[in-house]
Amino acid sequence: MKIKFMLFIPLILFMIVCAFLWRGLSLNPREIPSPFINKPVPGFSLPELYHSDRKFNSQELQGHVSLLNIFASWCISCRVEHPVLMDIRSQKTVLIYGLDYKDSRDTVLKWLHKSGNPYQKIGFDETGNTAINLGVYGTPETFVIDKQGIIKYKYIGPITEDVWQSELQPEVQKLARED
Amino acid sequence: MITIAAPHPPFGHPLPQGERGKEVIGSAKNLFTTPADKHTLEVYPLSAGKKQLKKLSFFPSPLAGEGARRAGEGYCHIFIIFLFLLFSPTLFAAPAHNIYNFKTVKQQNQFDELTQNLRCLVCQNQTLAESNAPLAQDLRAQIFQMIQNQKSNQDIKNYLIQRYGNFVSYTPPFNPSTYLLWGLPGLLLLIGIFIIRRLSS
Repeated sequence: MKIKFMLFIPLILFMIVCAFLWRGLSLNPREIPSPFINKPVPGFSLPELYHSDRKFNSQELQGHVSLLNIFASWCISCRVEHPVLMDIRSQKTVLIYGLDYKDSRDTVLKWLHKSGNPYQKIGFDETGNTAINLGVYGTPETFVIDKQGIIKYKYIGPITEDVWQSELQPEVQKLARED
Repeated sequence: MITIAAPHPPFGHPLPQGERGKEVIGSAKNLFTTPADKHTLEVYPLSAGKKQLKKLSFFPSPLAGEGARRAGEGYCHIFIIFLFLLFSPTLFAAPAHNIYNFKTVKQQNQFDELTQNLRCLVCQNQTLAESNAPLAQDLRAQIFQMIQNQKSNQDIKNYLIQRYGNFVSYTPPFNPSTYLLWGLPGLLLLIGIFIIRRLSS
């Protein structure tokens, strides 16, 4: 009897492995969990896109719930999410800050002029070093930051209407209710 | 008894005159097939010996003279493979450290070791040393800077892990979430030993 049970052990192990592999099929390996979740935004001080003599500091992200969106004018998926960001801005539920990643000032200003600027303030990260400090590895990426300036959520990839309603908006609303 | 014609070599090179159309006859038990040619079933009598088999499976070079072709001696495909290797892009690939000026060989070795043991986040199947993604270039530049500032390997690894998580490192840390990962091989070995001992006793 015992021996018979033993013979099934390889099958059971095989099925356990299958269960893990099956789960793996529906995971996206491109989405790397951020080590910054529940940690304060790493300090940065960037020249503002619109006023190169002024600075955009990480301390400005405190006191209100905000989104920090890393984008670039050369990034196609940023153009895809742009209308959604414009929509979020018009709802006035959360302030969107931008971090322009490795871009040319002229091009990005022209693009924002043409299609609208959803951002409260934009930091111009010409070298991409601030983005590296934030653990950014592609554009677009979006951080949800609470009133204390703590990163609570990170979304990798373009925000669609669906993503906003099902993932980001509930998070923003939850954080807005907290003190 | 089976009668099978001598095989035609792949890619349309004609067989040497002497071999063409030659029928190989033998009974099933002293025949064997070679996997060398998947286009035709090659069947030779065992008595043909290794030498003759080699001649047949190496098709003659078009560059070789009639005599050589007749003898079936040609290493055309080896020559072609050699040509492919000679012009393969990897031959022209330069190591990543080439664009940096290191003060010492030790620093260069440190750079190589680090970049070859850290994962690129954009091209996830490449190391930081191999990847040409802009982010990998930036990270290499940062690693170079940190090496110039006398940072240790562990400092530099920590710098990247802090920003990108354990994903950048090819060696996962030993913590509660990875106990299973590290322990499983040993655990499976123990289970295996246990099962074998139970079954054999």
